[in-house]
Amino acid sequence: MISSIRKVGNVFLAMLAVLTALVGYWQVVAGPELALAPGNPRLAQDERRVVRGRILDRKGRVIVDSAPDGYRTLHDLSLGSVVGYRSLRYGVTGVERAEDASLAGRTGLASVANAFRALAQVPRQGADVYLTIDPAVQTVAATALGNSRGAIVVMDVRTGAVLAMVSQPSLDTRNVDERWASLLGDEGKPLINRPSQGLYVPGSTFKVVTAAAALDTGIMTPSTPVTDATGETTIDGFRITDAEKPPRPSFDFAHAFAWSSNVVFAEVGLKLGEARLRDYSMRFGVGTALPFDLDTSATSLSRTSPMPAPLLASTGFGQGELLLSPLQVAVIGATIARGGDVPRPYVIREVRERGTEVGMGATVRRTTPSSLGNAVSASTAGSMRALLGLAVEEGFSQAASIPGVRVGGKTGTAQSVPGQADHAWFVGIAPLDAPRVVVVVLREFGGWGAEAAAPLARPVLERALASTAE
Amino acid sequence: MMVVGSQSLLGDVVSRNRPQGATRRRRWLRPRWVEFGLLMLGFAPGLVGVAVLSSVWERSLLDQRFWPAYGFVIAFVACHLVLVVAGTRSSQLLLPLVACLAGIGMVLVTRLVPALAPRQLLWIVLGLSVAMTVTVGPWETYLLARFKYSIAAGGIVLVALTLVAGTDPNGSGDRLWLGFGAYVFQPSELLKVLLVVFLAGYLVDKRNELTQSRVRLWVLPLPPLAHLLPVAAMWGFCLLLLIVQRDLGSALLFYGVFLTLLYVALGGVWYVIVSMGLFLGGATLCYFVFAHVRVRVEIWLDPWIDPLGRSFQIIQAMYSLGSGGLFGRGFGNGYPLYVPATHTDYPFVALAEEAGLLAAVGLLLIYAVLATHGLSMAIAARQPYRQLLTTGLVAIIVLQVIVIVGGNLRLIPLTGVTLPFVSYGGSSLLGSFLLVGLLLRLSHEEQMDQSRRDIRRLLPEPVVSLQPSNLLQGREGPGRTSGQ
Repeated sequence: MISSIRKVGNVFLAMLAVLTALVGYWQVVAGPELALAPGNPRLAQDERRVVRGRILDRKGRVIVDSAPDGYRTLHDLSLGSVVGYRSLRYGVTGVERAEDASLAGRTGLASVANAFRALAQVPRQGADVYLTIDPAVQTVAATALGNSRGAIVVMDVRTGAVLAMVSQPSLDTRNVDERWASLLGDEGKPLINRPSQGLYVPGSTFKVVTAAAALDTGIMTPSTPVTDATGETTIDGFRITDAEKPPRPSFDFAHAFAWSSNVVFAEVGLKLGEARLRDYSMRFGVGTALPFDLDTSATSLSRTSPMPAPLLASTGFGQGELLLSPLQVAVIGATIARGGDVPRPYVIREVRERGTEVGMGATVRRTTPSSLGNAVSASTAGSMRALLGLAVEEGFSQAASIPGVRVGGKTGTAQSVPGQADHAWFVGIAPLDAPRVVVVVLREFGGWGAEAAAPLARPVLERALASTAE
Repeated sequence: MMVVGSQSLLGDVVSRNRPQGATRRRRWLRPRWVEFGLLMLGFAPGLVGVAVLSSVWERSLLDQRFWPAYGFVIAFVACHLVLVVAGTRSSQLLLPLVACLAGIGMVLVTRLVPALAPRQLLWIVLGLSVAMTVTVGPWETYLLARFKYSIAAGGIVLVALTLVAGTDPNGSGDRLWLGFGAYVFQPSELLKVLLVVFLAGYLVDKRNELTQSRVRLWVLPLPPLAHLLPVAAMWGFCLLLLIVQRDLGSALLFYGVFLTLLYVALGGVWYVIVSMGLFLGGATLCYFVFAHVRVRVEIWLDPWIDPLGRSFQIIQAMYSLGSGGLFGRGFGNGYPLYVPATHTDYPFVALAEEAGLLAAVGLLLIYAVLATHGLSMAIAARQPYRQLLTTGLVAIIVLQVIVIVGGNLRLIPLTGVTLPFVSYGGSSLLGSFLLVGLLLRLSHEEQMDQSRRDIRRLLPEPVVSLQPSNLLQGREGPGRTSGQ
């Protein structure tokens, strides 16, 4: 009987050991995930013990701060979809999500100071997040777009820093919980940050990529003679037409770009072939989701592979199955402006401890501009800048020209949904000799790029040039 | 693996108080310094908890909320003095261990539902009174063996009463309580002690009949059918609990204790395997036949099917556990009250959230020490009946811990069993303290016998002992030979 009791004792101790291991599993292995699970009511309680950090622009103007009762207050409606909302029920988006740990004081120097605050039962203090947004440029861009649905992106090409980012209809991030149903049902889709998440057919703005690929591979030079006498052609029974017939029947490749000849770019697309077109698109970032501080949608050259000739030809001039975001188009423009180097776009400039005054706190982290690789050679990029300049001086993009500054640009008029007006695009860089900024304007169902998009870019470019000259 | 044996450190504590000389018979006022020292140590977790609560709540240490905790300390010191005055020779480790557990429970109730702390203290004081009466009262445990059938009859009456007149005071849907005016009592808490007392007596009595088998069923020696009856009756009784009373926890606990005693008394691992198979078979049948059993099992296997409904409590407990981490969120600083019925069903999880993994493992460790010490007491006992009774009583505590903590940690489906000495609940505390009283009594009697034996050894001629506890050993004669 005694040996039986010993065995019973061993079984009991073994079972208690199993329980010990199991409680260790729940608390330490599965613990962190359970602690941060969206359904855990402790998250809401912890929120109340944190004075969440503010979000400011590069000049120290407050975009979002917390009211004494903890509610987040948005001070610039045009930046709503950039800073994002924060809801315990519907999640976190935008900068609020990208920098959640900093804003909540969970990382950096703040976490050490906050450990003492927790002991003293004093609410934790979150760090402030400074964006690259330039308030003057942002205001001009928001005013230029007005109530038209679409997006404007302004980027400093030297760094990749986003100076302005407008998504219209804008998102009011206050009281998202109460308005959730109407936000979700809104046909204007305010919950989508159009510049980084919207996907559109790029139209002729994509000719920048096609032309750069043609020049870089050497199948074309700016002076290569081309013909487009009728303004239309047929490939394998598929009819291709120009938006507007070029003023002369034969001209050089540079003018084919300036006058946006679909017929010529269809031929160039076929000549490049699918492999080289895909390769060059990929170098510019097309086909993936751009790395960015905010959510980006994956862009796409074409779902179909191999591409039949008509599809390849239409892709050459920016139609087909192409889907790009305004941010992607801005990166393409910036790449040409930077001599072929693809910049990594960013909107979060730095994270700082909250000081007594704006900009006084110690810097926790500062974003270093970086590159995503090389798309084309410097000489190709140089030729492309000349082509963009020609398009503004002689082509359809004249509305974007600014007196005293050489501007390069390309319009786009992209077929949208059958029966609906076209999407109007414009991508512009300035000054052409030593570019500082790129501007992308997209107006959903806006019609002609030259009329609906290019004129909007002019005040934005002017303001951005003034801001970056300082 | 820890050694469960009389040679262990814990065993030495049991046999510490050897008689000083042959002439000394019984001495009043026998100091128990080991117990006193350990008792002070055992108060530490609870009192530290009070100090932390006082700072978190920003209330003075003399605040009314903390009075029950101080009353608790006084009650245990009083018990210690009773044992000293009565000259008890029982184990000096048992009371401090229980004080440590009950102290943690006391401060947990204070933190979770301050309004219930005075009642918890009241139940602890009542429980300690019962335990002290049992320990120092003028009686002998052999009486329990003699009147085992009366005790069994009492248990059956208790079950019958619950079936007929059971009430459901807290709206859980199960009528598991008996009402006495404003007070309710859960009979299963008393029943588990009665069960062990009966089984220990019965199995010691029928050991030979049960192990002598003439019929063989394949490899399994089949005992005479008449003696199989209690096994079948126990099986039926536990299934009845499961089906009629919907009390999965008690069914598991009772059957586990039954199996433990069966194994210790009969030594055959086959009985255990077959009985376990019987229970699993019955339980599986219940799963397919009864909807409420199925629901319990389904939310156990996948609580995410209904996180806001039936499995709300389970999910909240998982969040609570996960938020604790290694060191916890600080006592008084967490949110264990998001888990419904924390103070009765999930005190372990509340402790794990606020005091972290270290405290949770510490609590399990205290139960492990209690188990080791209890079983070494069983091994040190010289009579099969005491061995079996002690083992059964210890098994109740340990298996109850495993069933409730296993349920908390999703090792098994959640049941309504309480965490011994820690959970809030009057019946549970009374039952557990009655059990402690019996253990103290058993170890006291064992020490008394031990000293009598020592006295005999010094005498020139063997003396025929007329001690009733020696008569109980019957034909097997005195001494330890009957142990195996």
